[in-house]
Amino acid sequence: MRNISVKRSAIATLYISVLLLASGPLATQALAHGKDGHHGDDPQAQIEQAAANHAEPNTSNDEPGHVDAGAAVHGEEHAEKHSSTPHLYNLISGWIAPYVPAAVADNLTAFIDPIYSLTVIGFLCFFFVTLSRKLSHRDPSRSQAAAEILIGGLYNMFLAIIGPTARRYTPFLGTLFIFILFNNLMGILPLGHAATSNFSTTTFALGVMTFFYVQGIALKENGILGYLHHMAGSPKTGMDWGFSILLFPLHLIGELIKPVSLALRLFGNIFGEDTLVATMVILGYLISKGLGGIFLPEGSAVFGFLPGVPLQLPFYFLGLLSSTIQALVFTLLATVYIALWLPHGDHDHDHDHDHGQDQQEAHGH
Amino acid sequence: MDGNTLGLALPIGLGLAAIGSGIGLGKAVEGGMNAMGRQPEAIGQIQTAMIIGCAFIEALTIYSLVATLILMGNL
Repeated sequence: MRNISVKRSAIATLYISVLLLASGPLATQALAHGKDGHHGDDPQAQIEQAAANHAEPNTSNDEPGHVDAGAAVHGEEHAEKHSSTPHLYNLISGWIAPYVPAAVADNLTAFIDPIYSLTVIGFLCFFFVTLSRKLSHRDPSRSQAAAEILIGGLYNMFLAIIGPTARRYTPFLGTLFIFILFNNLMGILPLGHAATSNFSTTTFALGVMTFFYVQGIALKENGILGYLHHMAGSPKTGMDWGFSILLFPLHLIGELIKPVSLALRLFGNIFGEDTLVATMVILGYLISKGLGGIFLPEGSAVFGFLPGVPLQLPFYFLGLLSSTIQALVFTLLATVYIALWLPHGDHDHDHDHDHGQDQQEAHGH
Repeated sequence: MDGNTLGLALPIGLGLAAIGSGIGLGKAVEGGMNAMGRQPEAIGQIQTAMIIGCAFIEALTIYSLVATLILMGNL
């Protein structure tokens, strides 16, 4: 038994290292600077433009062949999609879009986030549905054990924050965690793309979903009057009621800003991480090109096939770490927002409440 | 704004935000580590609270990063 697992983990490690090492040249061959404007273009020219633009950002405004200018001419409908930050080609923008008709390619690039997140959803649904068809008490399979560890760990975490009623909210919060985690990890996968690195299509939607879920729970658990009372800062004495006029708009803004803050945090982290990896790929490409310029004869055909130095390798591990932490943070904050609205949950200025027995457990954070 | 001024201002602003965030994160993690050292049995709860606090602190830098990324188009 032990031998098998050792063998398997050795194979998995080998596979992952080959994947990571291969992703350097793979990504360098398919490096984009902007999602648009590469139909029928030579990818190598794109790389060189991107590299030149990256190397001399101060002078790039004066160059007539600057990528930004070309993209601006190419199409205004992509103007909001376009940014001057470097990012890598993914499966769709690098390997499918250049070879299909322009109309199809435009649609594919425009819907790239839904496509990738639907892929993740499909994979997760397939995995968990097939898993749940053959659950077993006596002889749990490996995947069942893994899923139980994951979901049990999540449940225990919510239990520590929300208290005994956590079971009611575990399906939504756990799904949130798993979905965000796998979407983040898609950005690390070569030829993958993190749907969570886009604010308007994915993370803001997640934030708004969490907002409505939390408000729904708040209304259901407190009732309309209790909700308004809570929003006014739970006043008890006359002075509290006076202050509640000031507190109400503050709480209102605080509630409305929560989804935006959640979404911005996730988007900023994942987008920054992807940009970091892409920047390192460009740097590795520049280094290998410089070395090639020293050791190869002028105008050699090998130049087009030089693999970049895999400088991005350490940042993939950083990406693994930050993907997990950001998924955890999003979920934990959603959990805390729910816990703050629950009637007997702990609240910063709620300490003169009667201390129920769940107060002790809900004091997790 | 002039591209050159913006090109100077954006990294400096982001760096300033990162300084404040770094100090805050350092203090938060210091407190968390002290608490964990004193009460190893409560590590799980302390860690959860620490990560949430760190997320709030880190968000300030992220806002700055987002502003930088938005304004980078004007560079």
